[in-house]
Amino acid sequence: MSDGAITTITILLFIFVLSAFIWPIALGIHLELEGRKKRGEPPAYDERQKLARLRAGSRAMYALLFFLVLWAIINQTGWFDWTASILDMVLCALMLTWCVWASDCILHDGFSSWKDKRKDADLMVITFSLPMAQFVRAFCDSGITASWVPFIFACADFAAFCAVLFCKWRREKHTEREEEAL
Amino acid sequence: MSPSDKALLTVLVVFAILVWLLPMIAGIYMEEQERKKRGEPDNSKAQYDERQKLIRLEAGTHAFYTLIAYLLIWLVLEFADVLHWEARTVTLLAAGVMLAMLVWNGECILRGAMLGFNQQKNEASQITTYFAVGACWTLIGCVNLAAMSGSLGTLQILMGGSYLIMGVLMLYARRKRRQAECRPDTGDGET
Repeated sequence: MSDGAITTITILLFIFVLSAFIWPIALGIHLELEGRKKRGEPPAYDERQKLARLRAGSRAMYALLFFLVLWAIINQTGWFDWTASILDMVLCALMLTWCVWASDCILHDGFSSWKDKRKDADLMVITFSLPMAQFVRAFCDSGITASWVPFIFACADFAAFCAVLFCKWRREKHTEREEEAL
Repeated sequence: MSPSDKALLTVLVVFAILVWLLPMIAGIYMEEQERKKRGEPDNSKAQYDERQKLIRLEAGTHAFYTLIAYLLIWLVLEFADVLHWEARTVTLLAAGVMLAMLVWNGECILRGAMLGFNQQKNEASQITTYFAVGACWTLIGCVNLAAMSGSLGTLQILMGGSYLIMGVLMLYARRKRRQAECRPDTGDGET
């Protein structure tokens, strides 16, 4: 069997395994949503939060478009060899869009559901971003990527989330103090 | 072509784009200032109602998902090595950006959120513009393909094709809307 055929079979198997993971989750979410509708429960996100999430999605698209144009220009100049690697580009793009989307959602109270009564529910973003950074590091460390730039993006994500959460915490404290003063 | 030549070429292309853009931007700005002085309403800026704003946001999110899916499919195909790309990275990136813009514009057109409520009378000129620009780019792309500049030609044909598709979508949406307007009201809430 040729190397190309082995790679193709491996990729197909990988997609099959991935879909085997994804489809029960998707079906579960669908059934849960249908069940909620039948029970007449309110949706997880209210109208204001839905709008904030849509806005965040739109901003993430603009960020992604800007990033791709910038990447294309840098690739065209030929200054850095790693811009030719598609994996580097996709990982950086995913990190960037995740950062823009989640930060925007957190700042506009659209990240966690209104049903989630935990005071620090937005801190979940840190628990997502840490394993994500480890995942990217594994790619970089094994030499599959052409550079460590995706890991730098992942670390920048983590730093940005910390900054966003700190900003929000300060804003909330400020509001609380103002309310107490009134 | 050496990297320094490429860098020089990029700088020249950016300069050429700026030379085209700057007078246009200055002209638009001066025209706006004049309009303000005359006290005329500004219909060049689209004004959207709440429904249209929501549709535009949804379309933006869908375009975002499309672009992410495009990048992932590209990545898988690249790793599988099933397709031997002749095109350069820049061409494929530009194709992705155009695809996202097409999804965004297409959804806005089909759901009546492309033009603001103050711009509905400009619809015919908008359709003409789409077809004219689309035909121009397609023609230029064909000429470039024939001149063996494959990457640039493909890019221009893709761009022209996007504009033509948007023109067709706008015509379709217009026809559908007119049919709905002509249909007699049944009185049960449907038009």
